[in-house]
Amino acid sequence: MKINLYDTLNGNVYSVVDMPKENTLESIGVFPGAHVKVESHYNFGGPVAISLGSRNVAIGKALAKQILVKEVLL
Amino acid sequence: MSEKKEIQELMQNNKTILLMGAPNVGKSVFFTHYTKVHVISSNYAGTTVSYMKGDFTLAGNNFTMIDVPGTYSLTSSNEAEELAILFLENNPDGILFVLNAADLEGSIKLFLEVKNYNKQIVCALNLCDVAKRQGKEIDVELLSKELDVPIISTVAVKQEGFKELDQTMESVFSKLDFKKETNIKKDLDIKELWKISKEITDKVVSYTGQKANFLDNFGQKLLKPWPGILYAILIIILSIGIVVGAGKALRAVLLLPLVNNIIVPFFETIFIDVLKVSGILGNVLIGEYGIFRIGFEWIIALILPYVLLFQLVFAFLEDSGLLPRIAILFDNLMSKIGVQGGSLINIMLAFGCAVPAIIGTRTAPTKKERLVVSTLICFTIPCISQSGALISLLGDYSIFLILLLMFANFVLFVLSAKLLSKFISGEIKPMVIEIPNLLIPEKKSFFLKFKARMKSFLIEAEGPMLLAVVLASILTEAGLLDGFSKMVEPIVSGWLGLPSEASLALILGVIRREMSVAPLLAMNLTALQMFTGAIVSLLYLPCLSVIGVLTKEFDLKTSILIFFGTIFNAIFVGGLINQVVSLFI
Repeated sequence: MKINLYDTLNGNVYSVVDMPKENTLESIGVFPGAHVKVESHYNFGGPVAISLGSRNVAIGKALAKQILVKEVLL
Repeated sequence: MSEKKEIQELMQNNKTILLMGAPNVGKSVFFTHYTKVHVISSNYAGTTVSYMKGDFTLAGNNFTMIDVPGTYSLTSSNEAEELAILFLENNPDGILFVLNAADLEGSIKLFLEVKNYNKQIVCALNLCDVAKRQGKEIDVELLSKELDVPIISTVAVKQEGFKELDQTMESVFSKLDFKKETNIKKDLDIKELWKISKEITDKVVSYTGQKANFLDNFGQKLLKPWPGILYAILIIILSIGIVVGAGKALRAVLLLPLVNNIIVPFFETIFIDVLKVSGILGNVLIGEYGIFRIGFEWIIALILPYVLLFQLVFAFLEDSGLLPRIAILFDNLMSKIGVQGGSLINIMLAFGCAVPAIIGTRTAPTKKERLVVSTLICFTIPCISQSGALISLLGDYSIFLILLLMFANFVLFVLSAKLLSKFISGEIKPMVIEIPNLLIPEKKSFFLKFKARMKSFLIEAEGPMLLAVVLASILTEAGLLDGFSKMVEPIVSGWLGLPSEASLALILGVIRREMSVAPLLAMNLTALQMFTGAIVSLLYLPCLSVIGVLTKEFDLKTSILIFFGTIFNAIFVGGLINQVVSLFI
């Protein structure tokens, strides 16, 4: 089931299915097929913090909503 | 653009070694090691956004090392990346690439992009201490084989591994075949690069099962909205508290008595009693606005304590990695007023000085964001010299006025951000920001940075400040000030409600920001007058060096607009407050 990155659950791992063409995302390692672990959500329209390998990255809500992911069952 | 030509010439006329790597891997420390040119480094992405160059010798050959701004990739998605590509395309003779041991995957990916340009590369594997703390062990030999490049492990801030690095650089770069044209494979597939990087990383990294330490745990806690926000607010309050409180104490206990009881009387004795200087010269030297009186009073007793403490506190925030965490926690608020959380780092930087903050906006992903943030800084963010003067002015009357001014500053900031993001065309992209590891600031680089900033404050502040002081005494002595005061009296006294001599603040404030406050100190103002004066100063134009940077980073039109815009805004808002409050008292 595809959901957007903002509607994910903390602690789960997701695989990116589709996302806007955005250099800043690709250059930090978010691209279709990449696995991301969702670390935390910030309330009141804040960003989503994810980890990719050993990098922690925060993505603003508006952009996170445009990134489609599906859960990876470990 | 002249910068492009400058770079082309630089690359043609020198044997150049590019220093490259992702943001925040400690490139600047390597740069200082080789060129002895001091660069400021911090623990967040994008401390060096312009390039720096310095000369050094390797095995008898003269080289120029270029500190290229750190980038995550080479896809020209912001000005820093464009600059990095420009350097690579102009035939560098060699590259010193800094890999991040704590984020091997990301740095291998960038390395592969750089390697594509077919230059002679030497790698330093930096931040080995952080990787170790995280329980990672890296097989350097295997990594070197996989990447087909010499690699030396380093902990740059402690100078570990530098000897081996020096030797390797010497042997590799001394037999360079200079200026050999090479072919570049274009159009790399980013996805493919990430795949290769992951494969290599998995091969060379093993985990020791080391438990996360206190810092990592605290870092993770700060990332959670709760208790993250609470910690962030506590950190901010504590920082302001230290700067204002300890600054006040330092001023009252040490610096004020030093200036009033020792330094100024000393010069009074010399000039008046010993040398018997009098008349205009006497006044210029030691009169009410004399160089040897207010030169010390203003710089040492008024501003220095706050600058000193701010630089200490801020260097800690920078080096620890707390700044991006604070930025993230406030992203939602920032998006609501039309900017994104990432710009908060540059805005916080501007509380120190607007010049590096405006240059720092080069990492902004869109033109609009650069312009909005820079303008916002010019209109509403006071630099620490100015804040110091404001704290001195208001704090002597009541701490309540300082709090009121902070609140007014916040409201004006929000309003300006909303207006600017509405009227400047273009788009602001949502935040994408890397969260660095929390680190205990390394003593040596922490104090080097602190020292460099204090030195540049003393040099950059002292010169223009003395100029302003001389200007002030000449203006008063020659009676020119009275003429000007009469001219602007309707504005200064009528609209702003200040004594007409306050026009001196408006003249001197053009040179440096704190000078728009300092003359008010000796004027015996009412609380309302003080507050109006503080608001005018807060919003008044940024100093001449900021106007210069604006012209360089944007264009003349922008800086002229900001120059007159801030003057108008300051007088308009200050007067409005005066007029409205006057109705009630």
